[in-house]
Amino acid sequence: MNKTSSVSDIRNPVFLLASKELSTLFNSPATYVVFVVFLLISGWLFVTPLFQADVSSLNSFLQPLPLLFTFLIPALTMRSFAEEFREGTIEYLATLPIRDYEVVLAKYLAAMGLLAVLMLFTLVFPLILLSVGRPDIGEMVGGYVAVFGLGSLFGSIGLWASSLTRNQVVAFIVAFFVCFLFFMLGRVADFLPGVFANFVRGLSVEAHFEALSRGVLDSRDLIYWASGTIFFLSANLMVLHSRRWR
Amino acid sequence: MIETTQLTKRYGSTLALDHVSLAIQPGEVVGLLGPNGAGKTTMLKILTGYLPPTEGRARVANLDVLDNSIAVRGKIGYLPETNPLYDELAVYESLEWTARLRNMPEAAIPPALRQVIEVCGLASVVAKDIGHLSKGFRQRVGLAQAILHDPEILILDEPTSGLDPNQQQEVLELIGTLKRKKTVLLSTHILSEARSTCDRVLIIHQGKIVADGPPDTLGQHMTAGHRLLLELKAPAAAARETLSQLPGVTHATVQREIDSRVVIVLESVDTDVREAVFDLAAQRRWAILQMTPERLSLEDVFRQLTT
Repeated sequence: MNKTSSVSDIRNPVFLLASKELSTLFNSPATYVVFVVFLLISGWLFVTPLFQADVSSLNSFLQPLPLLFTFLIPALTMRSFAEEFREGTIEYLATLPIRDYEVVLAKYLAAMGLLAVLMLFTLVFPLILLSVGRPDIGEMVGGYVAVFGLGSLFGSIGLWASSLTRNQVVAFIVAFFVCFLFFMLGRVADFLPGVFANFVRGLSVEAHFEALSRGVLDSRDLIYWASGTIFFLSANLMVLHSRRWR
Repeated sequence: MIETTQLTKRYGSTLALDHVSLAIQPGEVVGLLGPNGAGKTTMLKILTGYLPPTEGRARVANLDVLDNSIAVRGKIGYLPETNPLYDELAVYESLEWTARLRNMPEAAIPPALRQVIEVCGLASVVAKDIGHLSKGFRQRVGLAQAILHDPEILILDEPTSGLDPNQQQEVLELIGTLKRKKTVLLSTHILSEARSTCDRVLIIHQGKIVADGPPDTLGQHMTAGHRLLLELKAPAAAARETLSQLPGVTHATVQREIDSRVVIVLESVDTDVREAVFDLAAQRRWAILQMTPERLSLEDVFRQLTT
């Protein structure tokens, strides 16, 4: 690989930082381990009902994703800021003429880019379904929109957790705990009284994920993913600011 | 060019910088000296916009570092104490990436890269990953990144830290080539480094500037009065007794006696006693073999002020 030309055409600092971040992630063996484990699990989830029940649907692959992502996304994002703090390179970034929000945005875009590459491999599932049956295209598109909504929210949680510490393991644990909390909220809501239950259920990722993955494109679901992402990216930015004021 | 007014930084209850006011003119190479924990790095971090001050103001290139942080960062080149680098990037890649993040014009990047690679002696390692470089080469990469965009002001935090004597000399020579062209503020606790490189040194201790001046004359300002080293052909006890009675002399100490000669150190406050010493010696017919005003060395000054 020619290492001298990788950034030659990019000028925008966000894309410059994101491309470097992506290249770092793809240089890390941990990324490939996570990729292989995820693809093995998702492949098994997809193939088993296809042959056993003869059903041409992505549901068996999509339904367990919220739980799977509570591990996967924190594993992919845990190094993003923690490593910069541990290595001291955050000082290099913070003294360049770039703004903190550009750094946060770049890390977020890199995480989404990585998720996109990972999900690219899973496109083989809908292609198999199209070749063997007549699946609902809208449901499949909705499913992938839901995957990116979920990935976006959990990715922003992972980045925020990574900005809290210089230890990647701590970042993973914090991100996993918060993602798992969002996953569990729907189940917790069943034990809560009336209006409060609806409110808590509204915060749960499962309800919004399921609606979208059924192919129902509701603006409320999209607003949920977007507002959750913006909330945690803003929290990330605030953590970066507060570290400087210590 | 660099100006601070009552600059103060507190970390919780620890006072790292205590109302520091200073001005550094364009083209000056200034050394910030001080023991570990004196506040040098904190001062540099504030000037680069990495840390905000608790009180006071700092201006760099006539811009306030808080109000115009991005513009200030564009005008300075900074080598942090820890020299943080991305190990997974190749040297050329890292420099090119830095140039683009600094928004250098496209056409200016290749010649700037060629120049810093030559000036910093990086040609032999340009395609290597930074993670595989020796400490000396890593320091050169850090320095190359700092000077790549031809900044008006260079802020270097212990630029020779961890280098062997040859590498230290190379880095100091490199800084020497920047004299008069750039304003350089470098921190160090190696006094010989400050003496050979800097036009002016600031000694910082417990967050305060305790001395400020050219490195070779700082001792003059530091002595409360005058010290005179006197070698006479005279009886030691009589010479000490008589000299100590001269107007203005506070102390007369016999340093050593050699045969009929005596070496005496005279201390006086705000009085030049050389003429009186000459008259007395002439009157007593004592031959003056040596009469030298004593100055404190930079090392003496540093020790006196920071212990």
